[in-house]
Amino acid sequence: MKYTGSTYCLSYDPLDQQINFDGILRLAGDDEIAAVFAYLARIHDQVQGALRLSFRRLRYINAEGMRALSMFVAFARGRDTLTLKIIASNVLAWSVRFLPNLRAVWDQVEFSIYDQQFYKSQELVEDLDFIPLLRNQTRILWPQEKQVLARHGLGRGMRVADICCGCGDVALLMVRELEPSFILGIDHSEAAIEYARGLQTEFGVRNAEFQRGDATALLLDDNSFDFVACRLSLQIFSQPELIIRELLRITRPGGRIYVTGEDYDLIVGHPDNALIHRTYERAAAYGDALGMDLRGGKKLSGMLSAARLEDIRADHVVVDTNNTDREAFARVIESWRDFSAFTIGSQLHLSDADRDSLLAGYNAHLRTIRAPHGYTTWTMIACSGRKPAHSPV
Amino acid sequence: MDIGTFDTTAASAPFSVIELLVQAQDIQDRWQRCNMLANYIAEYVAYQFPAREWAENLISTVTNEFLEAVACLSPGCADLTLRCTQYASTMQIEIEHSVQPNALQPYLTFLSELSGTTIGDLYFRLLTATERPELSFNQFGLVMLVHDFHARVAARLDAATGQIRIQVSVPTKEISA
Repeated sequence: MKYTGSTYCLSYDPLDQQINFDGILRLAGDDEIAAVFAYLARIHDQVQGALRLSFRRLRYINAEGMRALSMFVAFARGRDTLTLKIIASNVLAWSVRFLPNLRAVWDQVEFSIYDQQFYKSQELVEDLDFIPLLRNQTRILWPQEKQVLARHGLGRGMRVADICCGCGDVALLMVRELEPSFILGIDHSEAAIEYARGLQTEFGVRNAEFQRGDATALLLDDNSFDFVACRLSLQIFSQPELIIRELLRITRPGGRIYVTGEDYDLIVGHPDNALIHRTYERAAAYGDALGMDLRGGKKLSGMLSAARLEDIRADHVVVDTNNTDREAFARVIESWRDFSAFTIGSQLHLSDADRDSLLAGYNAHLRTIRAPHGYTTWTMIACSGRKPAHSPV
Repeated sequence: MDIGTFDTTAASAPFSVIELLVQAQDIQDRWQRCNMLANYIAEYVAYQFPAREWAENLISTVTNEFLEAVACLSPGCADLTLRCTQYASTMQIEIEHSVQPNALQPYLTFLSELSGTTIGDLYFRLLTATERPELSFNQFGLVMLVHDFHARVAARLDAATGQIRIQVSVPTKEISA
């Protein structure tokens, strides 16, 4: 059940008992206010319990729009049969500032900001200190991943989106080496987006743009990209299917969705394989405690299949001590070691003994990498699927 | 005649200035032009802010409410000169415009109320109002800017020409949040 104005759309999702506000709700005059109010009141009278109002994809509102909402809250107060849950987004300044005021109209209004704590490791992953780790990973993954991306359909002249693009380095490499016509990078981290824009300026890339955004509520049109990537990110969200739904929505029918994830179960090494294996088991368990699935690579194919994509392809990107510069590989493991032992460690209040033993495990892995005859791997799984030509999304 | 206190941080050179002249009638005939103009200015000004999306959203919201109010009050034939200037500590949006004769006194009275100290009361009175004021010119929009974005509003009436210069200044820390 939908109500559509010239610049906005209100739709009701019965699964979540949620009204989604999309577009720009800058209303003009009493007729428009009355129409919006009537739609909200109609939904109100069909629902029991709590009714959610999600503003995560409403780019703008004006005072008249706020008037319509205030009238609706007053109406709900008069009925007194429901509670209202209002959901704002940190990406939208208006929503964070204006919407809390509706609680003054009725005390049964709950207000929350969806993306304030929307994944457990947010504070760590969105910090500026996380960027060197991302850069080191890109350095060793890219030589293989650019070929994988080409095999999975990223080609010249395409319109590409890189959702959860981090510091933007991979998006810029895609532009330079795979020649899409345009690439849009989106990430929720302000620090990462600022870094990406700096790199873009430094590299003189014109056909790229970086924006801050919420991957579960993208302010992008349906069916607007030929190729949509989401690399090494689904693993940090407790509900990756919400992101996949958005990737699917913005991909044009026939376009491809490309996702990657790491899988600590696939890390092997010699010598010291047992210690290396134990170390990554523990690191994965610490990740679990922060909501990160560091063994999730093997689940990606199933996620795309569950989203009803066609022609699903999977590849292993195996970084090893034969195909990668050992020192560059070691820098990645050093970044992981410090992130795991100190950043995650302090978050989880690890004891000194636990931290020391974790450090010892990573150091064993580093010795393997640096030993002239040592061999070790890091495997990232890349999967993609095609959006059906007649997709309902 | 002055209402409120003009922001005078303009001693230093501004980071950016954009000035546009539009005809009130254009906006009154096609109300969507407020939205277009607000988004255009926001994109232009926000470009220099590190938190660009936040800044753009906020600047567009401020500009739109301000423009909607002024466009309601101006005679159709009037020109609106809109200037947005970014300084280190504030962003100032100024509009020079004339006012329909019947609207002048209620407008000045409202602006005085807006620069007073009881903004919270005024905000909730307008938020929950079931009827519009007798002369309606987006009063609620202007109050929202002061209440929720800590904007400051000042106005100067040139009695000889009837022109009003109205300034909305928003602290940069709000825009960079």
